[in-house]
Amino acid sequence: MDPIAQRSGQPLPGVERKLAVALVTLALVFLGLTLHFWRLQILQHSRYQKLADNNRIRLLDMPATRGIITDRNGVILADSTPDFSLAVVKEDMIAQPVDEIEALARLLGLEPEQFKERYLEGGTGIPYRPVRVFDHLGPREVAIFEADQDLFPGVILQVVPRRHYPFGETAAHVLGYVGEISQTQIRSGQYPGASRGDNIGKYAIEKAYDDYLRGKDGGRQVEVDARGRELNVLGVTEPVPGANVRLTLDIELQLDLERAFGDSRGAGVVLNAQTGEVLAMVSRPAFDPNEFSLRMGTQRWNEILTDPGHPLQSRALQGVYPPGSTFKVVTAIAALMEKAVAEDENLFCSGGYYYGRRIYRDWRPGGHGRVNMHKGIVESCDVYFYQMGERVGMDALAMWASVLGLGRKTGIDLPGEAEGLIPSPDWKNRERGEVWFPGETLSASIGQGYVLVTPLQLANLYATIARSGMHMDPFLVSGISDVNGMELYRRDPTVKRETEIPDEVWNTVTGSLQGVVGESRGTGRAAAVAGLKVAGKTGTAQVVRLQDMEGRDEEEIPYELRDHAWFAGFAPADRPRVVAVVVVEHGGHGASAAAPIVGRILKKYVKTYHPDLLDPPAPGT
Amino acid sequence: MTMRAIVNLRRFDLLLLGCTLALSAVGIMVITSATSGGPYSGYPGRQAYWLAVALAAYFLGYYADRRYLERGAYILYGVVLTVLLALAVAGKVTGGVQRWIHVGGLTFQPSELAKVTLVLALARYFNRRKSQPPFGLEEMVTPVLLVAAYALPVAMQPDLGTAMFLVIISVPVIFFVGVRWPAVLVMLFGAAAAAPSLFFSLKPYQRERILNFLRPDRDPLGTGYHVVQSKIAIGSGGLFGKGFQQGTQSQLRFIPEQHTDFVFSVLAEEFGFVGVLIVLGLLAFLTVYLFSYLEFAKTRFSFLLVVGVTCTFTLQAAINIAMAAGLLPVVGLPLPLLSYGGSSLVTTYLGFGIIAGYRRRRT
Repeated sequence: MDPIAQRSGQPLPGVERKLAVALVTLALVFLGLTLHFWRLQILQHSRYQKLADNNRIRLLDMPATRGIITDRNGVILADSTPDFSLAVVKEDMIAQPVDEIEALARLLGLEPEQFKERYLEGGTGIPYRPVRVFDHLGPREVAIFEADQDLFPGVILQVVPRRHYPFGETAAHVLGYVGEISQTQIRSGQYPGASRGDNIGKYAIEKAYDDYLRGKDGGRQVEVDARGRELNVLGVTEPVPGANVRLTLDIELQLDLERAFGDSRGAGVVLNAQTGEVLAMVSRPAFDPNEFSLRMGTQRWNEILTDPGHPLQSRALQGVYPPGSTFKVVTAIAALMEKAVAEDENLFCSGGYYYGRRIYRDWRPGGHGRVNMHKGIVESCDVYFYQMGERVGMDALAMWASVLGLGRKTGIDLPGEAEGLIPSPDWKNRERGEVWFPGETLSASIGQGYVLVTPLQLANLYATIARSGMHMDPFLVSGISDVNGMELYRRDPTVKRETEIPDEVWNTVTGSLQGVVGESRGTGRAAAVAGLKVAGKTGTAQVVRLQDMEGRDEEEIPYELRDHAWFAGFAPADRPRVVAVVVVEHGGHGASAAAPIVGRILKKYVKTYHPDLLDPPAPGT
Repeated sequence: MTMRAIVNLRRFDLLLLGCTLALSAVGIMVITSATSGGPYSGYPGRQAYWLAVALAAYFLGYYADRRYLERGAYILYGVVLTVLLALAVAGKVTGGVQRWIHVGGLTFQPSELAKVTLVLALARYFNRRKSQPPFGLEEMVTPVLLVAAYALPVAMQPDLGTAMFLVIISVPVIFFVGVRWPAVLVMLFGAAAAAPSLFFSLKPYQRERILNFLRPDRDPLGTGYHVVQSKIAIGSGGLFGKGFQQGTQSQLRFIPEQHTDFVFSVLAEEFGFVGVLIVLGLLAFLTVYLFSYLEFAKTRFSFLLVVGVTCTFTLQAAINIAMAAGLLPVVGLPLPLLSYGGSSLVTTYLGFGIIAGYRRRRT
């Protein structure tokens, strides 16, 4: 026996009791552990099961692709392109989301503030729902993110469709633009299923037909790992793409008309004379709707808002202008219908008309001499129409203007149309509390004074004339069909109402309008085009009435004070198929600025769609 | 009485090795699940390889001469202490974590071995006391120094969990030896006085962990995240579990350190409460069975060795499981036999072999 072992081999005191204490203690520890696992795994199982599912299952949006907008021939005017976004899942982040977003913004070379704001505003409160924070990332930014993706757990790359307008500014006021839905709009309940970050139509067709175009977002249930990377797709609800909208526009005509404006401001409308379809609708200056689908800074937005040219205003249906001499057809019809004048009654124009205490001048200082209805329209004699107005009276004139569709909305399928204004003594008394001066009737009879029309109203008026009194609503959307081509909506031209104006009156008016362009003394000769009989009327809307501007050379008058130039016409004069109205702001006389544009656009239309209606070219040319 | 009750278990002698191997097999299975498809997919194979080494260590302990074991206890203690100090100094130099030494292409964690050599040294010390227990304060100076000399360099590695555990395993040894109450009170007071200065000498992340344990809502996505995810894994396992390699928490890597510190969470998720009961039962049975070897411990040294090795195993298992279940702060302590890690496996088998050897020799 080892001496050491022997010496130290004495038993320890109280071992039995100590062993019992140790075993009881350990038994209690194991019992405690067992009870704890019972609690976690059995009693609280469903709660932890839910947490585990939340951990790994994510609901990811699959945004619907917006419907395509095409012109009448199927040319795409608005479609969607893939766009890259970064979304944030708060629960997957290790650091404070705001800090991580800031770090990410710096990595991408972007100003962090707006993104932090977007995150804070954009939270849905639903756990594990991605909040889209960075939009419209370029390939460079995507590459930077993907390289360092592991540094940003909880940030996921999403592909979302972005609205794209291949023609840029062209027809911008017709197509409109899309933008992110605002909190107010979400709360309004008008956009069921929409959530923060969704794009909705905000203007024009995009807005008016948003319900059709938007489609229905889908979603994917995916299984993710601890870093938020997608592993499996558990379930998919496919998004339903938006329906496709076909417009009545002809993009070629639209482009031509826009180009004709150059840098001038103004508006133009081209209508199908038989149906009321809008073939082209121009407003200058315009904007690029693509800018609105991209990241637009506040600065750029303010720039657009404060632009003196008001590019966001759709002048064709919102711009109100005095119609000038284009209104004379209304006065003529009123006079004929009120039997205030016989068609062949001659009045004398000496270049001015004395009424009350002042002289109402004619645009031609020397006067037009003996003038009947036809000559009055062809040469646009102011003195003749002053007297027509005087004879008819303002109330009757306003009544006939209203019968012809002025002073109220045309009913086009676009939001925000202006009503224009046809004044009357009642109106002035009611709105202004002032007495109607008889001289104001004279101004109104040549389309000045209080009379205001939109280019679309004027086009609609001339279309009514071209149809000999048949009223039709102008419209832009001819049909809507879903992705599978099933027709959801079809617009047929509808005759709204026939005016009770007899054919003789229409014949007199259209004959005279033809003379405006076709006769040697007509004011609208500039609208004449080879091979096509054009009917129409010039107009010059005074911006300011300044005595000292009269008689001055046009070039000497400052731009903002120059008159607006109108021309309204249709062709072919004997069988009208197309109506065009153009107003060039500060374009001076209608004859010089607007008439050539209208002539050219009318011919382009007839040549494309009704070549048989063109006159055969004269031999030898 | 207690002795008589548990001694009967010795009839099933092979049960010790059988239960140990069974738990090791469960460990390899869970490690397989925890590492599948990841960068550690080679680990189950390596663990099996370590199991072979551990078996060799078992028989080394089994056949080791008890006299030389007692005589060599201080030498073994000294060798391990030297390595621990060397690692602590190296850690200061490189500024990194220094836990492993490299031996012939294998890495070994000396702090694991320290758990056995500390028990050996304490057993030898108390074995050689001529006076009868319970001991007073003067006999306790050396044991306290023996423990502190190990715990401090390990804490500096930094490996807070193992350092604290080295202190903890000395408690049952001292308890079985017997210490007079005044000495116990003085030691407790000394520990309480040292605690604050110890706390502030910790690395910031270690302090975080302790604070987060005291207030788990402090940072649910930071260090507290691990415990939350571990509890989700355990709770979602339910009664029967999600099935082998079917645990969403483990397969999708929501559980941190899932093949080492949190291996029990993976087990609980995939095999449910039933699996938990089986493993807890095996652990409890092994504990009682190891204590039964006290019957063959005829010297104070062998008696304390059996107590020390058994308590090292059982307390480490209980603490690890309590950590995974969110009952204790996560300080990084493996689950013996189940967690991945060769050092822990070899050390555990070595200790079991030494204890089993007493049945052969009855000394």
